[in-house]
Order: sequence, then structure tokens, then C-alpha cells
Amino acid sequence: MQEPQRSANSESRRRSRVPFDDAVKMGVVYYVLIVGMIVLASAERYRFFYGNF
Amino acid sequence: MATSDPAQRRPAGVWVSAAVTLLLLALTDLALAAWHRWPERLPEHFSSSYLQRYAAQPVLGANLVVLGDSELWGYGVAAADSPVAQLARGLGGTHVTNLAYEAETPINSDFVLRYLLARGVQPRAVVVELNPASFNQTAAAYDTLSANLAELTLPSLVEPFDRGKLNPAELQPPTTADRLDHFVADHWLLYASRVDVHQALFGDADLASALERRVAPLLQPVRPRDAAYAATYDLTPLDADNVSYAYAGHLLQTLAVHHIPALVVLPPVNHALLHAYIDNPAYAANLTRLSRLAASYHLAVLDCDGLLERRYFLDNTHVNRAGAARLARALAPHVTRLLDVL
Repeated sequence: MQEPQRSANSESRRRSRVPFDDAVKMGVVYYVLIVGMIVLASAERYRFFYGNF
Repeated sequence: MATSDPAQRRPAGVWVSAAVTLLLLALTDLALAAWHRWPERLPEHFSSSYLQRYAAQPVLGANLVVLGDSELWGYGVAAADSPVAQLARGLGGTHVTNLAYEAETPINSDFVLRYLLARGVQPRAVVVELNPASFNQTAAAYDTLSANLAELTLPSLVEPFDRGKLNPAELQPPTTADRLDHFVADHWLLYASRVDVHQALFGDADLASALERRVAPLLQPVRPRDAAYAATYDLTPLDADNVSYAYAGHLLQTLAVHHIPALVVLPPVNHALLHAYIDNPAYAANLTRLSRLAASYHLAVLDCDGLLERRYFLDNTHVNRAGAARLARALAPHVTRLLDVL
């Protein structure tokens, strides 16, 4: 039973020494948020509505 | 040592995240720059990046250029079915550039032409649409440029002619937000071409407009009713006091001065729908004034005002696919003659 626990601890220690993966993932998340905001959420600031035209 | 690790790691992690984000954004810009897709028409509400790209390609400048509003742009029909796209197919090898967009009133067309000429692009020939609705002094675009066109052309292309005509709000000094917007657009292609991306993905200026366009008719089906257009056509006799008329004259004069062959088109209007408002001598007299204005610069005029019956319209002036085909067929021989002059 101790073997899996040891393995998990070892994995955790390995991750804590190498934060690169998480930082890369966060970079991708920021990128998706920025692009998503521009593509999906940005609206034309000024538009001529048909109205009487 | 173990307790100090997270605190030491955090700054490095932030820099790695920032670097990854910037790298991906840079790659996106490279992909966009390599995306040589030329849509058959401008985004409906104009795009400064589209016009900039067009003006930067001199080969494309030697074309037939169409300046007009949503009627020639093809509001309500697919790009391939717009009057200009159908005209282009009928002309065979001639490359036709559809620079029409929603509410491209004469002042907007005038500044688009000024921009092209300032960039050294001299179109081979030009089709100019003069929609009688453009001369309505209460229309939003009567004396105002599309915001994106204004960003591109003001104040650098302002002439003494504009004094007292161009909406004074257009000549306000740029705010900090405007400058920031310019700076970001100049350095970030995704941001600068967002309207083009929206148009490609959603078929509209932005996602909200695309959703609204699809949902609104389900909630309240729209049927064109004549009362909706009661204030669309201003029947005041056209003269130099009308800003749109003055800019139409300036546009046609510019074409004549630069020896650019041009055809002035008075577009089809749904007379059956608008009978109560436009079937009168005042409206006819204004059409005659527009024809005379073009003739005074020795430009050909094609009056399509009464060309189409009610079944060819979506509303007061926008044509359906069959109407667009009829309009394209009406334009074709005149445009061919225009191109043969060269």
C-alpha cells in the first residue's frame, strides 16, 4: 500500500521542482482568453444602423 | 529549502506564461498575414485593414472598382449572389473589386476614392452608386464617415472643400483611447483585422450582431411595411446645401479630374412598397438632378430606379438573388462599354 503513496509523493516532488508545464499551460490559457475575447466578445464600436437609411 | 521553492518559482512561471502567450499571439499574426483570402466584398460595415491591404497591392488597383452602399454590397444575399459578384462573373476576366459597404453615402465613397488615389491606386474604371436615400439630411451617415474609414483618412485627407460640410465631430483631436487603439492596431494584426475575422466566421460585424440577426426574426417576424420608410426619402430639392449632394459632386469631379472612366448608377427602388412616398414629381426631380450632376462631369448614368418589380426586393431597396441577377444584367453592357473605352 505504501508503494503508490511513495510514487505519488515522488511525482509531486518532481512537479514542484519543474513548474514549467503549469506555466506553459497558463500561457496557453491566457492566449485562448485573449483570442476568444477578440473573436467572440469584441463588438464593432460604431455602426450605422439602418434606421431611416 | 523546500519551503522557499514556490515563492522562488512564481516569477519564473509568470515569465514563462507571458512568453508562451506572446509566442502564440505572434504565430497567430503570422498565420493571419499568410492568410491571403480575399473575400468577394468588404465586411458589411467596412474594414480599414481590408482597404489598406487592397491599396497595398498595385496589381489589384488596375480594376473595376465599385463604390456604393448595401444594395450593391448585397445585403440579405450571399457574397456570391450579390449584384457585383454576379456582374463580375458576367464580365469574365475583368477583376471587379466590390468596395461597397453598408451606408457608404457619397461622403464615404469620396473618402474611399481619396484614400486610393493618395496611395497611388488609380482604378481602371469606377461604378458609383447614388442611392436617393443617401441624400436624406437626417440619415446617420449623411455627413459622417464610417468610424473605421475616419481612422484611416482623417485628418490627413481633409481638404478645404470639407470645411462646413464634414460633421465637426469627425475633426475632434484624437483622445488617448484613440491613440492607444491606433498603436495596438498598428502592431497587432489580429486586433487590426478583427472585423475581417468576424465577417469570415460569423458573416457579420461581430458575434452579437450575427446572433441578433438570426434570433430577432424568430421573435418578431419582419415583413416590410411601407410606414417604416416614411422618413427614408427626403424630397427637399437637391442643391449644394445638401452635404451628400455636395460630396457626390466632389466625388464625380475627382473622377473626372483623374480621367477615371465612371458609370453613375441610380439603384432600383421598390416603388410598389414606397408608392405613397416617392411616386411624385419631387422625387423624380431629384433623380433628374442626380443624373444632371453626373452628366455635368461627362459621366455615363444608368437609371435603374424603376427597373425591378416588387418580387425582386427584400425591403425598400435591397434586392434578392433574382433581383441581383437582373440588376447585374442591366449593368453589364454599360460596364463593358466603360471598359472598352480604355
